[in-house]
Amino acid sequence: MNLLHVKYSKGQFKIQQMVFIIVAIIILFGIVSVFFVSIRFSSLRGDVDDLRKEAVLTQVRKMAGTPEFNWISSDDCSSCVDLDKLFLLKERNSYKGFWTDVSLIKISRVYPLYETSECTTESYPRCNEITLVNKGDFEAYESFVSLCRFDNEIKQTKCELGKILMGFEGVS
Amino acid sequence: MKKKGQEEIVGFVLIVVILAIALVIFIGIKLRNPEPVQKNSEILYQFIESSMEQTTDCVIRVNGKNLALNELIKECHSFDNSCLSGSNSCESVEGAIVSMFNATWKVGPEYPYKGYEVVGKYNSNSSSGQGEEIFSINQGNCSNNYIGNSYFIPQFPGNIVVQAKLCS
Repeated sequence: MNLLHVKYSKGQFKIQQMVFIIVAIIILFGIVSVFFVSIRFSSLRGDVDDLRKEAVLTQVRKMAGTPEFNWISSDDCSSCVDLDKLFLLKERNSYKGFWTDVSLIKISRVYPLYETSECTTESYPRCNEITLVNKGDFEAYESFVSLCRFDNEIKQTKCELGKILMGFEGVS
Repeated sequence: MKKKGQEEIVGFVLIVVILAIALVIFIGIKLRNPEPVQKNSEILYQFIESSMEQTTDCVIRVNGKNLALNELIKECHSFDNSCLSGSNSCESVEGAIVSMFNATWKVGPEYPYKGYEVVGKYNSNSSSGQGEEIFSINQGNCSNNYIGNSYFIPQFPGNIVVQAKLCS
């Protein structure tokens, strides 16, 4: 039997045409849906990253509630840290190596800013930063807090806007 | 007279063209009228919460204390007294918020954040949608894409809501 001379009926041609059209439409919809799904998944990935970052930020903020940082006053202020206490902590040898799993702990003033960067006994409180831990090689996250202390000039508590920076090794 | 095969090809092309036009219209509408997208931002909430504890320069009464920003906002809403320095309490609120925002975030066409909005409203009833506006601050350009969050200050019988948006 010679296969080259097989004759197809008109009905077979019709079925073939219909299959071609269906395949073409499926490919078209396939391309569109792959395009759509890739866009949706890229935004999902972004959302997951945002959620992870927010979880880390919340952890950083929890630091403000620890006894070493916390501002104790009659007002309920969860975001307030005691600047005097932190400055004294920096000078205390007994706290060296206290925060073992953290590569950076820095308290930084945001507003108002003074000329001196790192706080020393001479410059405090007119300075901008108190570094408690700095081991280098970290990924840093920051969280806003209120830096509170008793101010002798106005004879009352004074709170200013600041942030806690914490660095973790190998966090990405 | 057209052949039947030609008619089928025309039909197929027509289907593809209609699908393509529908797709272009759908994408066009999606891109032209983007809905306002607010992402609740934890960092912005922390910023507003911490800002509210900021001690301002405003003293209302002689031998009185310097008010914290949340107390100054309540003062601005309830009494609108002037500070001893001469400035109005509501002006002091706006000045303090602008100073803190400008010190924290750089906004402008050349920066990632193009502008910001901070609005303070008093809601006497938590179920009502619109509140009485206490202050409103706008800097730069705000589009539909922004991160934002709100902070509530209790003020009997309702509360004051401070809403902040950082626009990108």
